[in-house]
Amino acid sequence: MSAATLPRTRTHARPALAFLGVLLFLVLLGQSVLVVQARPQDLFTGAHGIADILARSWPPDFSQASAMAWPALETIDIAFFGTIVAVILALPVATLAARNTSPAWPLYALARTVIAFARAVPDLVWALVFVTAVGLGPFPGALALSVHSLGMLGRLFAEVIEDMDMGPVEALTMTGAGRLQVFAHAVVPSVLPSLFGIALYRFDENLRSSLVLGFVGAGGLGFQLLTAMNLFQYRTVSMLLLIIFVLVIAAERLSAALRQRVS
Amino acid sequence: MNLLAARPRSAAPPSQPAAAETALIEVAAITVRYPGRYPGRYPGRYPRSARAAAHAALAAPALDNVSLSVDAGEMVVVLGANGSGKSTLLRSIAFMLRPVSGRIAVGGRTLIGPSGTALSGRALAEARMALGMVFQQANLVKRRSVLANVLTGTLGRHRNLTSALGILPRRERAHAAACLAEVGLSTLAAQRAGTLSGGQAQRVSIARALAQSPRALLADEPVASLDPDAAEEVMRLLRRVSHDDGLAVLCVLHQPDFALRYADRIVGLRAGKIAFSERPAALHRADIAALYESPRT
Repeated sequence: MSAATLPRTRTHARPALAFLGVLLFLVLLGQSVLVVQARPQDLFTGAHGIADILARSWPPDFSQASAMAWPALETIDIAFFGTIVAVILALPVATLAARNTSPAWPLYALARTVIAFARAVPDLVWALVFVTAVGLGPFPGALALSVHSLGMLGRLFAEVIEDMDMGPVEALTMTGAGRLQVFAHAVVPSVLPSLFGIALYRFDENLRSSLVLGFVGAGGLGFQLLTAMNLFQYRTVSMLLLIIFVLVIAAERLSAALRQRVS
Repeated sequence: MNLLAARPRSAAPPSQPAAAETALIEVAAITVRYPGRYPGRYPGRYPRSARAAAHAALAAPALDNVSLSVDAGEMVVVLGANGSGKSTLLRSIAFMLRPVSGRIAVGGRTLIGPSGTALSGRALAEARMALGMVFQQANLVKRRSVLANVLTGTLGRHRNLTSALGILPRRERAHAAACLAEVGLSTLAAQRAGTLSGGQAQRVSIARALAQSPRALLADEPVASLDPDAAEEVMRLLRRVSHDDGLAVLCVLHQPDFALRYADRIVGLRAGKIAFSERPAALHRADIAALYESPRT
């Protein structure tokens, strides 16, 4: 075949497409700078204020550190409770939301809708809803994390189940095993390590989220942080930030170590 | 390891004696057409839409009016080129595909009748118990122990919540251990399935099939991904369970040499039709070679 008769291939269009792609990216970046009213110069003029707050935060006031043990435990338990409840709820929902294990299309659609809704509403909004429903304290925070994490875990669990090797499922079905038995003996053991890893990662995320939820009345260290900031007790704020830093790093390390052990 | 030396008997009810010349697998005039896409994610689920049926009617048959039977204690090997319908035949008998016509019976129990009637639900599960299946890949749950994998072969006898939680009668554990001993892998009972070699994994999958206490065994290219030594072991094992335990074994292979050495009878499939069904001694190499020739030559 001569060069003149060669069919036009996609490679001819690539430089033009790449140029259009870069152009589109620059347009998107430009409009975001305009919309957020970005003023980098304010960072320089505001440096004095930041330095003032840092100076007033030092040294951290550890005289109240022992009183923060209970709020710290509350923060950890909000994340723990929220993650455990979310895992318990997400397992059946994800099974229904995975194409290869869902028994019927309507159940698949329903499960996907539940997951999408739980994810779409931010945990802060769920916390406001539950604070209104059950009052102030750590419980609404834990409920908010449960529901939001159900959405996050449900989607990730469903993806893991959809990506699993279906060979053992086929083999067990052929032995005459029932659907529940196939699920328990083929699906669960195949996906459990991945699900455990995802749940640990979610706990790590939930610990950070539980701090923010304290700002809307869900207790824990977040609530203490908000109170100290409102009272301009910057040395207490810096002490709380140090505790939070230690907690988050410890949770991250523990979660990473457990995930590595499981994998 | 000499597999022929391992001769423990299973604890479950024994299968048909080898001497009984009874057809345990009967396939009568089946025709299978593919509807153009995989029929379902779970085996046994079929497309029921009119559109799928119309596709099936238009497609060329993957199996065209095929009949065969396998007796108790007989090992039949099916040979044929890619696309000749070997796996389709096995999957039809295993009820993973549904023929458009014909009759299939296993152990005297009709799975699919000539009028299109077919088993479903619990009756289908019970029928499947009588039919062990060995796949090209061992399809073991890699993170579970070898014995736990073999035990899953007994689940069909205990379709209840406790068995789903892994609680099975002690006699089933003994039965699974005996099946593992039968394939010569007792020493690996506690080992994770994911650590096994390809040959060992395939033997465990045979032990899982034996744990069903089946009357017939289907093997879909069981040695395709094994090295020669492991393949020999698996073929010896299949022949032994057929001859000693009286199972009807129907095995699809791509290796004519194995077929000639291990089969009691060889069935040649060509373009969805049976080309021959002969004892190895009655076959010439040319007969087998003809299966793999292009239709134009």
